[in-house]
Amino acid sequence: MAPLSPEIAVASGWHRQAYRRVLVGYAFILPWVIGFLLFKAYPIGASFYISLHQWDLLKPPIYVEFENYVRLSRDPLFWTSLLNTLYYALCVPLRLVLALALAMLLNRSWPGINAARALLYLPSATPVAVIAVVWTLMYHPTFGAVNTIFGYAAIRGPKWIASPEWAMPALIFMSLWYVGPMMVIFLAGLKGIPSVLYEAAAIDGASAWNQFKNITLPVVSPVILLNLVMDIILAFQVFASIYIMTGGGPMNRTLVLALYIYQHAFVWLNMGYASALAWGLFLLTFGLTLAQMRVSKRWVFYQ
Amino acid sequence: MRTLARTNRGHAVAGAVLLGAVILGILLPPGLARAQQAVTLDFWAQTDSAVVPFVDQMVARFERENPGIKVNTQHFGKWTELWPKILTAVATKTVPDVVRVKEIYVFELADRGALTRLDEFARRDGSPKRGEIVPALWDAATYKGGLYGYPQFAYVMVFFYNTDAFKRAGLDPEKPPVTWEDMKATAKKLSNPSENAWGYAPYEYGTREMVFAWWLAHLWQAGGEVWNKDYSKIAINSPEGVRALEYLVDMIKAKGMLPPDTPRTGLVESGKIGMWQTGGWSFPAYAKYAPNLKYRTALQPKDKQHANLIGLDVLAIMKESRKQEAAWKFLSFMNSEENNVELAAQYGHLPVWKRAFSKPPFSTDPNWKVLVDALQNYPRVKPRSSQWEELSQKITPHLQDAYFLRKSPKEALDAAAQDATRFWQSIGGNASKVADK
Repeated sequence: MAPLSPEIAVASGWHRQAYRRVLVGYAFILPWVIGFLLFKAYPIGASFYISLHQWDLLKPPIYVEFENYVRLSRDPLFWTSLLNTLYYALCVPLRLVLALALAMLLNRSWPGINAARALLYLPSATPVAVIAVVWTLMYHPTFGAVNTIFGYAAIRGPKWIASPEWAMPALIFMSLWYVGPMMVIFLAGLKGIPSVLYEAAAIDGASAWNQFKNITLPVVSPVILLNLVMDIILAFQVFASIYIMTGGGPMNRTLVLALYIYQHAFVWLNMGYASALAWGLFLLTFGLTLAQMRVSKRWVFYQ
Repeated sequence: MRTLARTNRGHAVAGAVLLGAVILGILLPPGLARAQQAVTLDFWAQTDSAVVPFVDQMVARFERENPGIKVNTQHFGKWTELWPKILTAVATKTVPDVVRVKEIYVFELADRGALTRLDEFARRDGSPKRGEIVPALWDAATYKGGLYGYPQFAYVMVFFYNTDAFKRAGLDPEKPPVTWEDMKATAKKLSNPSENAWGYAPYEYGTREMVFAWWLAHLWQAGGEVWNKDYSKIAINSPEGVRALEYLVDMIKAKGMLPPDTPRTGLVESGKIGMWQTGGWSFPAYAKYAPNLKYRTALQPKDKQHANLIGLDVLAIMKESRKQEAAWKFLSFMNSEENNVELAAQYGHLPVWKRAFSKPPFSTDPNWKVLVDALQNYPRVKPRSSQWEELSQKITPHLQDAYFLRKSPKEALDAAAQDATRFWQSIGGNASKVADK
């Protein structure tokens, strides 16, 4: 609230107060900034520095320039893990569709709808390790729940995570467990659609599918973009469930990049190479996000 | 405006005081506790869940006999959990005092200067002496001539068989297969793939280091070696190596052996496996989780010769620990002949003291006697080298190719030898970076 004239401003100490207000503002964000610098910015910088060295944690690091990056480009397992990561990322469209469908289902005011929302969100609140262990048991070819249920329908289920061909599809299917957060965000987005649009469309004789295509989708498209970008980033970083369920096997068919980085860093102690791999993953994710934002201008509708 | 500013300031002060109190509350109690203790040893160990209570009891006995020393034990169910923790601890200089590690870790840690050399302690106390401990085990705990681990247990991987399954197939449970040919025939007889029953199951499939390790026994049985004579190349694709891999792949093709895409979990315990590869550490696990399983042990079948994979667990003192004397006292207690024998039986491992083998159960129980026989007469200790884990994992994916029948054994081993040799040479591998006998 600026005062009426410069003289009043000086006399009433307005500049001093504004200055103090700015200081207070910075003081409030200071904890977050410190946290960011300490726990995000510094490790990211350090990781780049480490990627220029060869280091096994126990002996001093050896400077090797960009050798790690050259090695990365020639490493067949790097490309394998990259392909596997992209393969796993196929779960993203599946999750988006499921999350949106569930959100639309839950976008009603029926009695007990809140309980239903909580129930559908509950799986995402369970720790990954627990889900991974339980699904490992369920996917057991002989004793597992999945093949037993298939057995009732007289279908001989495949060996799931023990089979090279079915391991990744099995993991992708299991990832549908975690649609909760996306579903909630979609629900919030759906609630922002004014119902008059639907009413007007219904009066004009639009079918349910038409309403969905021409009202719901466009209005919710920024939310779709948000969920798409976030979910791709998450899918590229998947680690815990795969580490527990398959460890990258069989035959490295489920070796995703995050798991490969872990192996180099903590099993074989190649900190430098692992950091280079991590930067590879970062650049890939960053590049993909940029591309998505570019393309989004064509299909996202902002009101 | 002024009142608002004062309120803001008041809030800020209150917030700072609260934060300070929380921080103090977190930092003070452990600090005070530490100050009161005389000496606290941090002990990190891999311990199978069935054995945890016995270890805790023995540690408690040590504390009673040594007032003034307290031991903080952290049990890890898997080596793969313990190993990264030890490494991070060494890198951040927050090491525990005593660790229980495998022979390959002793080599890697000693190679990096992270362990205390124990010869002086041993000389001063007069124990342990090399003559009292099984020589192969003593050597496995050394690095460049120095003793870096107090040998604790020998784990022996042999051959187990289900006596009920033998009887059902009309085989004599007193006569397990002795040669590879016997083995192939017996495995076929015990198999029934349509019921998910298999004649032979190896220790595990996958790309872990152990997958290479258990195959090594077969390489040695055929008379092959991992390295060539001057340790410059990996030589597993020798004719002996190909023979060792063909032996297993033939069994998979003939449906006598568990295929790699069928998990082994639960199959042994439910009696669906006729013969399988594991070690004495399964004794306590079966006693607890599969009490109805009737099994016997036998030496692994031989080709040119018998060879059974032997490994060693040691207790080691971290070099950066500031309580070396107390740590040595703890080591001497846990691995004293009596305590070692008692704990070994619980673990399903063999004690390291030569005299212990003449005591029960090692001298009386037929299953234990096989392990003793393997250790004393046909031992092959796992090779220890720089970066053994990474080296093994250059080889295991190729072994998988062969087990999955995607490549012939010769192709798979050629590829494995090539990858492994390239890696070995890139780390400057030579005779000084291996301890192979």
